[in-house]
Amino acid sequence: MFGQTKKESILPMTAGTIQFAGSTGFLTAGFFKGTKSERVQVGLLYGYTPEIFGGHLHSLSLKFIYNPVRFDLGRNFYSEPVQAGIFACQNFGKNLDLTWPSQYPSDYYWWTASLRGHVFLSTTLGVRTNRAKHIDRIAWYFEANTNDLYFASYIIKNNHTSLSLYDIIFFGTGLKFYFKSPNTKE
Amino acid sequence: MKTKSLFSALILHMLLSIFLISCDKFEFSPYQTENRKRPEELNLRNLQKLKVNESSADDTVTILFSGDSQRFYSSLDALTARANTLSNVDFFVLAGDISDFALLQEFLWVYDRLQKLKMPYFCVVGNHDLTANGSEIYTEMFGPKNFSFSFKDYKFLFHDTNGREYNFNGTAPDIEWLSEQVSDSAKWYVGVSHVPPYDVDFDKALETPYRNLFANTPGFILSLHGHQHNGGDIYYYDNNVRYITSYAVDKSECLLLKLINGRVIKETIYY
Repeated sequence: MFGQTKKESILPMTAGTIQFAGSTGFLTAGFFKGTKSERVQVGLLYGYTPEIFGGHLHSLSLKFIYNPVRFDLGRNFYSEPVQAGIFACQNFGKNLDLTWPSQYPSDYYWWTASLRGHVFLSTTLGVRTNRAKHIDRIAWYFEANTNDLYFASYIIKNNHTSLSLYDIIFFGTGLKFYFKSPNTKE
Repeated sequence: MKTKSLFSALILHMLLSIFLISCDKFEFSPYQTENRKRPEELNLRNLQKLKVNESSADDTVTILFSGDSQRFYSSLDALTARANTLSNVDFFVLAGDISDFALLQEFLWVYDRLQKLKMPYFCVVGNHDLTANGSEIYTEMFGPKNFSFSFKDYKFLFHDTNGREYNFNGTAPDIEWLSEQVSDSAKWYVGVSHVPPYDVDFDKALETPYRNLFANTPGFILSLHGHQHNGGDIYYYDNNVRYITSYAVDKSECLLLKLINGRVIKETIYY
């Protein structure tokens, strides 16, 4: 999928992630590939919510991140103050169908049964791990997202006078481990 | 050593974030069925509140009746504000479709607004509430989908009539449960459910036994429903049972129903 050539890969950056909350699961894990500049990243994530936290729920997400700027904070720290992006999250659970079952006429319910579209903003603080063998950097990020159904709730019938934007935004946080590669920025 | 201390700082950030779990803004999934804020047994808690006033000498029962609050939060604010200006209302009934997408957050947003009511309130389950994980959320938040209580001379039967959600498998409405409920010789009976029996979303195989049960029960005067959003009022089956459907919350109208010695006096309340 992300084939590398001897000349130069389109997506040379590789990172693994583990995330708490963020609307994809109690814990979510996955990996990202990114461009050389790391401004554009794409990730595949699996999330799980156990019964004790309102599950059992599983999810698979495809995530796109635009990461425009990075500032060095001294020799080892750096900040990426804002990222924006979208992710599509397919949710799985005993009561969640991929499509609406046959008892419903078409368009009886207008929204997709368990595939949610999300938009998010995040902020990142990273540290370079100079002496680690395979890890180039570790970054902590904090993310705020909303989804299509919350947004649909916010915009209908003057609901902005009743719900606040804060009401429809939910948080997640995680660590991202950037693996060393020939094109890793120092 | 410096790298190690910086790494420790990152871990500290993580721990700080996890500490923030307590604010409920860390969502695990839109489809999660619980969080720390989710209340339990609301219908039972409101019944306890209602029973405090049951010893009143007045035998009239006054109900404020609406339905289908699904996504109409601004309108629900207006309704609750108007409701609190009315006096002598015994309780408020929301005839199902509390939520639109059956997401926990929607139930909580509606709960936040209904909690502002000065009077007790009861919510019956609607078809929208039964999609995704809504059945579990409703049951945990409000209690059983079929429940009844008596107040003064009236017995109220809240029940699930969302047949399409069960693929019309003959389980909703639960005729056996209803039959048991009307066998105790209450003076008057009032049914409360979401889908009326003459709607296409009602289990057609159960329409005849359902309406016959109501018609053949002495004192069964009224069947309240939501789903159609239109404020309908009809003796649909040409018998003694009056079928009234609520306006949806966004219609800016709800109904004040006064039950006086088995008669129903209806008034429209605007908000």
